Amino acid sequence: MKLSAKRIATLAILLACALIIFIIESLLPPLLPVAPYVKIGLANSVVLFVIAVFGARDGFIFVLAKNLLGALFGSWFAFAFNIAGGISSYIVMMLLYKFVFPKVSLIAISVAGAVISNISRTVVAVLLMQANALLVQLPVVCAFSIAAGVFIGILSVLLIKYLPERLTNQE
Amino acid sequence: MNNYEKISRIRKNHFFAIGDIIVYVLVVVLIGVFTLFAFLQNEKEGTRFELIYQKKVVFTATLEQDAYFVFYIQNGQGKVKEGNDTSGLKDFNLIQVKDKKVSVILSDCPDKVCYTGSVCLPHEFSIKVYYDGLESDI
Repeated sequence: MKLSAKRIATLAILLACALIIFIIESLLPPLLPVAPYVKIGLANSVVLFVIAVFGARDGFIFVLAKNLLGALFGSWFAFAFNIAGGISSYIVMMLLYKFVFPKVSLIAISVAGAVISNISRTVVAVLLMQANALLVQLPVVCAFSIAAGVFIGILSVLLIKYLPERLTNQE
Repeated sequence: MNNYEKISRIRKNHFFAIGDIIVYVLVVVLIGVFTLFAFLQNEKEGTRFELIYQKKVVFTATLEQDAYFVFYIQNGQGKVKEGNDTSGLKDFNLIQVKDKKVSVILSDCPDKVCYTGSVCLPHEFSIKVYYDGLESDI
C-alpha cells in the first residue's frame, strides 16, 4: 500500500466530510432522552467507507484523527465517549470486513459496530459518573443501535456505490 | 477475494448475506442478557439508603419504613426534607420509600434517567442502597 499524494488528499477530503457530519449531528438534541450520550453516529458511515476502500491502517488513523479534530470543535467531555465508541466500533468493523466480509453484509457489519460503539459509550458513562445503575439502560441502547446501524450501513453502501470510481479504486 | 472484488460486490447492493443471521442473533442474545441483568438488578432490596450529592453523602435513612423525601438543591447545597411537598422548589427529586425499595418518582430534571436508574446527572445526585453491610446500586 503506497501512501501516494492522491491517497492522502482523498482521505483528507473524506475526513472533512466526516467532521462536518459529526458536528452537525452533535448539534441535534439526543435522540434517546434517557441516555444522552448515545447517538446514531452518522459519521460512522464515512469511517466504514474508509475501512472498506482504504484498508485497516488508514481506517485507524482516520478514526483517531476524526475524534481528535472533533474534540477541538466539540467538548473534551464528549471526547471520552467518542474515542471509546470510535475505537471499539472500528476494531469490530475492521475485523468483520477483513476476515468475514463476503459472508456478512456491510449492513450487519455496521449494526455490530453501532451496537459495540454505544455499549462502550454507556460503559464510559458508568465509569465517569460512578453510576452502575446506568447499565439498566443497555437493552434500550442496543435496540436503538440496531436501527442506527442499519441506517448507517445503507448510507455506506450508497457511498461506495455512488461516489466516483476514482475515489473508490485506490489499488 | 481481494479488496477490489469486495467493493464490486458492495456495488451490487447485497443488503443481506447468510452470515448476517449470526450477527443479528448475537445482538439479540446480548439484548436478552442485558435485559435479564437489568431485571435482576432492579429486584434488589436493602435495609438502608444514602443520598449522594456531588459525591458526598447528604442524607441517610432506613428502608424499613415507607416514607417520602424531597431532595433539592439550594444555593449549590444539596438539602433533604421529609414529606412529598415539592411546591416552590427548583432542582428537586421526590424520593419514595415503599416495600423496602427506594425510587425517584418525580423530578424537574430535563432527562428522566432517575426514574429508572436512581441517578440524576443534571443534579449530580444518586441513591445508594445498603444491604447487610454490602453495597449495591439499585
